[in-house]
Amino acid sequence: MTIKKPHANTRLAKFVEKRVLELRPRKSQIEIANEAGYTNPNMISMIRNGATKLALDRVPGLAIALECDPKHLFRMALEQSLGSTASRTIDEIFGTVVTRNEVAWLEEIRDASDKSDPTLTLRLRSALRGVFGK
Amino acid sequence: MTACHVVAGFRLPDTGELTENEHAWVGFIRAASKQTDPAPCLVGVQALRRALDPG
Repeated sequence: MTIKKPHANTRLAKFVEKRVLELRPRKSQIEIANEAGYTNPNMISMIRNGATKLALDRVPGLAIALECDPKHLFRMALEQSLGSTASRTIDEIFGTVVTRNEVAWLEEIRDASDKSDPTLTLRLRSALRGVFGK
Repeated sequence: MTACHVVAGFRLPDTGELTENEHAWVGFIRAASKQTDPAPCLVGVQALRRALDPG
């Protein structure tokens, strides 16, 4: 019998997989599960491979264990639970949740532009696309 | 009320509301980085500063 993995292709499952691998030299999956508050260490495997989704109330604990931004993880958990359309609707109604790294980018933009609130021009787009390799 | 608050050991500035342009920047960074939430890096900040430099 094949085990169903309904959340295997979600951004969250891929992200958890990546963070677990990145942390592996200094933190085991069992340590991550304990730190996140799971009594069953297999939960991290199940989230990684998409067999189960991440419950929203587990986001703060798992963000600490994975050493990542809770807002970034929460956005992905919302998308996983509700789908990308509903997640975008939440963004539209309650406003975009800005992550710690996005705040840092905005601060760089404010600082570099002397707080002139620069428009995202074609020139700026292509300059940044080069940075992100796209 | 203080201007800053502490979240999981990190000090975050109170960003308040984003302007329309800043909202566009955030959307662009997400799309260009394929939603990987990248931290600003030296190369990125230098490219940004060069592009924003009016001179």
